[in-house]
Amino acid sequence: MSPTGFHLLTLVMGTLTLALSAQILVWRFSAHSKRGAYKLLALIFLGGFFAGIGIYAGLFEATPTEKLLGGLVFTLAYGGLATAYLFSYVGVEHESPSSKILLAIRRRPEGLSREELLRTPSGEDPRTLRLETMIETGWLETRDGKPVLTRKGRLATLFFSLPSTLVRHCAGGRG
Amino acid sequence: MTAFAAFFLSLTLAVAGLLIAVSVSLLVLRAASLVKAYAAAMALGLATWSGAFFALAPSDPLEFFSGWTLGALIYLSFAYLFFHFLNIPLTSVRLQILGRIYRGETVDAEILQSASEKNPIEIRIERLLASGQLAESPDGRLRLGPATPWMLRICLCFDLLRRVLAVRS
Repeated sequence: MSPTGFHLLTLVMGTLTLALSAQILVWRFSAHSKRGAYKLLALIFLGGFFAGIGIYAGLFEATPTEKLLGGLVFTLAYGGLATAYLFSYVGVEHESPSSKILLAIRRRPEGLSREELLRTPSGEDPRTLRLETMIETGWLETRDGKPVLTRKGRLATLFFSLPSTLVRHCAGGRG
Repeated sequence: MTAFAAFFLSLTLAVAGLLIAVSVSLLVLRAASLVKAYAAAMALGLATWSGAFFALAPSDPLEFFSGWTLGALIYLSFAYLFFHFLNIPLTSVRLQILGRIYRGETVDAEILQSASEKNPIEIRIERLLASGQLAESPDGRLRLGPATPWMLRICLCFDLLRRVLAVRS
């Protein structure tokens, strides 16, 4: 059987659905730390990718060029969608203050005062958690009571300074 | 056109459309905000790509649908990722703190912890009021605002996913 666009689309959506179902099962029935969750998630979606590529290579008959290009389309579609989901998952795990506010107000049609909002949506002030989290995730370490960047933190800073420099440059220094 | 040629064409056009959209968004950044420039460029890229695909697409309806959907999925997922790549360093307080430490501007833990004098919830309330997502009545109570509640819809999607996955944030 030769691969067509419809076959590839079905394969991409099928493997993504399988990976998402596996995540739901694992998340519901096992306990894991927040850091462990991301490694587990990467493993599940990587497993889905290799399963999809395996099915594609085993099921379809095509010329080597067709197989290569079909594999490239599968990789881009699956890789793009899975990475976009992983980015969104950060928003699922770390609920933003805006989300907490909007959902709290939606639950109370009569509205909420500022004081009520400051009390209800979150337990701890996020400001006090940031440094602790960055030390816990290995981006910072403390030397003589002062925070310094680890190698991982320095690499992340350099990587993420690239787009902000680009945006500032393109916006004429206004970014 | 064969089915294989159709989906490869879809891929090539989607990648080309994305590159054009990214370039346009950076070029118009001087005249508009990041979100507006990016949304306009991405919509333009998607429309241009779809137009080119409709002109060259296969006649078989199933292959037409599959080719367009595959291309659109690739285009939209990479557009979404590129937007976050541009946006996260500008909005993430953690990355801004890391940047300050890297440049040697701030190294004192207490200053970092009190970098923002206002509670983040207060800052977000002001932003949501300014964008019309929230409205304040004369009695001082906050309700959902008149703006199209796109942000509330995104929050509800995340909330649903949080319930399905049984995630405690």
